[in-house]
Amino acid sequence: MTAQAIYLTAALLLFSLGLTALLLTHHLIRKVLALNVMASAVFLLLVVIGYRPAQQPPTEPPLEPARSSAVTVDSASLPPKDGTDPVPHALVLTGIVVSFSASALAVALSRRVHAVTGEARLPEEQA
Amino acid sequence: MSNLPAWVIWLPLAGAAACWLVPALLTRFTAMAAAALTLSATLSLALQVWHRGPAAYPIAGYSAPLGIELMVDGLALWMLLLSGVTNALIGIYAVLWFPAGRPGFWPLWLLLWGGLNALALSADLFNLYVTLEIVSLCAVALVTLSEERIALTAATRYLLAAMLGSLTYLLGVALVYGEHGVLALTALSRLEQMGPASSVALVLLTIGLLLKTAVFPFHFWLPLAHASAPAPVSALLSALVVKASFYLLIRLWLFVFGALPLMAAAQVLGALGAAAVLYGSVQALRQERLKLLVAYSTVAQLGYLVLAMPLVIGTAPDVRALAYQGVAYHMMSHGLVKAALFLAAGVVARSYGHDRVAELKGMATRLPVTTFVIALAAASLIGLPPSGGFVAKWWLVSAALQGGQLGWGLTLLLGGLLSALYMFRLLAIGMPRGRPHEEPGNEPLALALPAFTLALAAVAIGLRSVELIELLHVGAPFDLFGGRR
Amino acid sequence: MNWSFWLPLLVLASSLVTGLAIFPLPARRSNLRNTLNMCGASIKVVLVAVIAWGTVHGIDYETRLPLLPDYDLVLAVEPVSLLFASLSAVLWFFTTIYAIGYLRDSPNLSRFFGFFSLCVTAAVGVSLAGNLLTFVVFYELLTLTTYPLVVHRGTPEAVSAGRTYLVYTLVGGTLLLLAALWLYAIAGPVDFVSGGVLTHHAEGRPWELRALFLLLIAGLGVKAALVPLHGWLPRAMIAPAPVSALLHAVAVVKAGAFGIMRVIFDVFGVRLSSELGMSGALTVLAATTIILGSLMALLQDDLKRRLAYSTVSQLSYILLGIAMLGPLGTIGGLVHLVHQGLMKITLFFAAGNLSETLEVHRVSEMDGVARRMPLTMAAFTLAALGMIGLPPVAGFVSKWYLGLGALEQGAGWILWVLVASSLLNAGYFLPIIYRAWFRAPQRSVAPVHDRLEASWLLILPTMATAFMALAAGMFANASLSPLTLARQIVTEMYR
Repeated sequence: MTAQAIYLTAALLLFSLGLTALLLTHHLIRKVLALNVMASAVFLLLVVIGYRPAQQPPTEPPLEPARSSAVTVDSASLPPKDGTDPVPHALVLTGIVVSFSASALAVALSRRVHAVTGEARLPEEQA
Repeated sequence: MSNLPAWVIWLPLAGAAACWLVPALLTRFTAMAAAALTLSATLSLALQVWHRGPAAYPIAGYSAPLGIELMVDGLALWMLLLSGVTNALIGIYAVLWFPAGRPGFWPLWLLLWGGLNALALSADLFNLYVTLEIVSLCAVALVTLSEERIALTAATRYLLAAMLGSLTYLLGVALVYGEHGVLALTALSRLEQMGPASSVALVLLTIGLLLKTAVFPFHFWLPLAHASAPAPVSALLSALVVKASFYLLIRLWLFVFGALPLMAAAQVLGALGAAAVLYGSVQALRQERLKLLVAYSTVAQLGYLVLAMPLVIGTAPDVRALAYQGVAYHMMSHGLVKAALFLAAGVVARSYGHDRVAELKGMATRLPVTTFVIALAAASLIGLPPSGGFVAKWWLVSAALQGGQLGWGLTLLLGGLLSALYMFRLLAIGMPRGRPHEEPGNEPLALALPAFTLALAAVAIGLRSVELIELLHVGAPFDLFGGRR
Repeated sequence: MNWSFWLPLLVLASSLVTGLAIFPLPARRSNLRNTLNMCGASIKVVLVAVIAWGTVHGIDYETRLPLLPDYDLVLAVEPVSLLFASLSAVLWFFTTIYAIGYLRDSPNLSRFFGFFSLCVTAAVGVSLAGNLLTFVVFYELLTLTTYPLVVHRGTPEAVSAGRTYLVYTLVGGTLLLLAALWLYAIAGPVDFVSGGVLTHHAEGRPWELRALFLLLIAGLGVKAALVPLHGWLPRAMIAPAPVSALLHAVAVVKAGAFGIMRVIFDVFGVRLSSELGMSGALTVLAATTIILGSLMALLQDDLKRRLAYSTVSQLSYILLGIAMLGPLGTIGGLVHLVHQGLMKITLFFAAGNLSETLEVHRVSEMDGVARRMPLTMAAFTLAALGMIGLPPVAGFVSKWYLGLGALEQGAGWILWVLVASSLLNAGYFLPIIYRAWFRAPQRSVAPVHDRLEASWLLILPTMATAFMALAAGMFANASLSPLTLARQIVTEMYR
């Protein structure tokens, strides 16, 4: 089993773990945490994907002709020769920012729910 | 290429920032100015694309694959126009709805608008994820503006569902990138076949988007969130926010993975849609509150969109074109109608002090314009001519007939009859006179007029479908319309 | 300006604009509202007359607007459409006068007259429709605009009748839409063509076409009140009298009958219809409806309900004539489209006068009413005799041609149906006439001598339509009579 496969399995396990927790727990903070575990799993997966041994290029050449006169990046340089692909890293960074803001909103809402209803869980009411 | 695609995004975002900065008294003026600018940018962009064809706009001059590209084609414009017109009218309504001292709505609204426009124009999977998140977070925050206590828990549930949807979607994005090393939609659309990882990825992307679109059985968060929000927010959510994720779904299935053999999967989606139509309609019929009725109607109507997938995916080109037009028309018509309905429901709630359906006797006398809005909306929801809903139904059922998939067509027609049941139940309750000498005149006309305009727009698009369809066809990226054009 | 393009649109606009202008009027502006109404109605009559004159002189009127890509909204003036359009225009004119008098100052009149005008717009649209898409559009519009009229009173019975009405008509409309799309899937975007559009597509798929035929008849049969799809009609009686009058004589029921005629002559064509063997089935269905409707009418005590079942029965005369697929029967059907309209509207006007002035709603309360309202009852009697088929009233002409048509087709049993239904008609109309004229009044109602028996707004339309029903029978051979027109149409059709 290569290192890549191990990380991949770990990422998928984490994701499933998070999903299970999200569906089964009732406490709002636990739910938010579960979502964060899921997010970390996806980020882990992205980082693993970003690691490409030098002799193994991506299965598909990532290129298409640019249709504007704007600056084009020399496509032959992708992925870099040192075996890592920077794009997933950029994705992870952005993803962390997004997930952070979502979690912040979720925590804020959970606190409001607690303040208003006195409980940190969602009532069972359905429409 | 002009900078208009960027302006369409930047103007509302800048407006949102400005709303935080200016004194509270000026907030709504700032917001309305930004809205006016955004709407005019949207219209100019539409004109430009109409004359010069589809366009790609590399942000800051960096093109794909490393840079971020915006793409404008007919479908993107379709979404931009829907969001432009609907947002503008909802904005006018909101000026009168929210008291001057509560400026929270304005920046969130503009941010949402900007997110919607960015989503329509984005052309890579990850960028779309970011825009989806902007839209969802703004939507959740807007729900919490409600005074209703239940709105808070509804918003929380909505947020959790939306975050789950986003993460599922993001996992799909990661898998796609892992297998193909690209995220740009145009590059992905050239793929001839899918590996196992991308099949899983497509499933994940789809589930994530179905969750955000609230397609049955993922609709659980929608009714309360949409019904407990303030009226203008409900209108935004039902008309635009759920459409945004559906827009992405159709872009992925049709434009990106459209060449792949997905017939069986599309049938599954169709079945979900059929279930949504039936479930949503039956629930709408049982609701005792007007806003919940309208919200369940949204659940049903979203079912129509998904129901059409088996007609769009993997069918003959002419059938495909018909069904695609039908789906696009349904998106627009439902967007306008649902906004009108929620705004009308707001007028009803303001005027009666409640929105219990059974107690709306005499609505037709007391609120004639609002009742008229509801009636027009009913006609379009049922699909009676002349309305956008009729045009959508016409094309979808013809596609079903010509593609030999009569079952889906019959479900569509049945859905129309079911919506007649719940809409006319409402109108029938409104017809009798409540108090013996009730006179019209207390109707808040300024609130009713934006709703009326939206309802009229839903009828108008049914009358001018020729031009609108030509616009929709601009730059459809592969041979979608081989048989006809 | 191209008149042959604009005139059909103007005919629609004359009532559409009126309707839209009336909606926002405040309740107290009754003079303005009535003026608008009468202007719209008069303009429509004049425009239809102009079109009729033009058509006689060989001008082709056609409006074609793109509605969907490849599918146009077509308003075409043909002799058949002219027959129905002029009926709608003329009867709308009189019904407007009647409605103004009948509703005087009841509430929500702007809404009422707004929808009233839209309803006639839809009816005229149905008559001018040049293809099935246009027909469907106006047919559904008719449903939508008549619903508020049916539930206008807002009483629980009205609302419940409205629900029944909607369930029937919307299901019918949905079937019709499905059929229309099916037709277009088979034949492409086609217009109505005399002789049928399906002739070239008939090869090798008789069962598909039979199913399509059935679907179309089922969709249209709801409004045409074919048994067993007639259930809504008697319940819709709850509407105010002018609405019932218009619903029964012109707008709704005729749209269904007219549509079936279009389907047989202009979609399938006479030859294909008879080859498929579907017209025979329709004949039987129509005959059944005639007998059953009359029997049901016999059992009703409520005057308006009795008239409603009479409508069910009489409408099927039209279908019977059409379904016989012979020239003479077709003349009978076409001419009855007009004659039944004139007679039935008179009957409803009269019934409205009785209920409005004397609060008489039931046949059993009608003893001696003719002494109090001689003019009304004279009109009623005339129309009722016409319905039975006594010369010289219009109904006789219809039945005469229907009978000739039956003989022409060698279908003697249809003659028996006609005879039986005439007897039944007599059975439910003659007692009314007898009671009204010859029985002593139950309540002592002093005859009025110093003034008219009711407002002239009620009496004038009643008398006018009764007179027209009489004239259409007496001068059946005159150059502009319904019969002459019907004969011309049929001559062209079977050429």
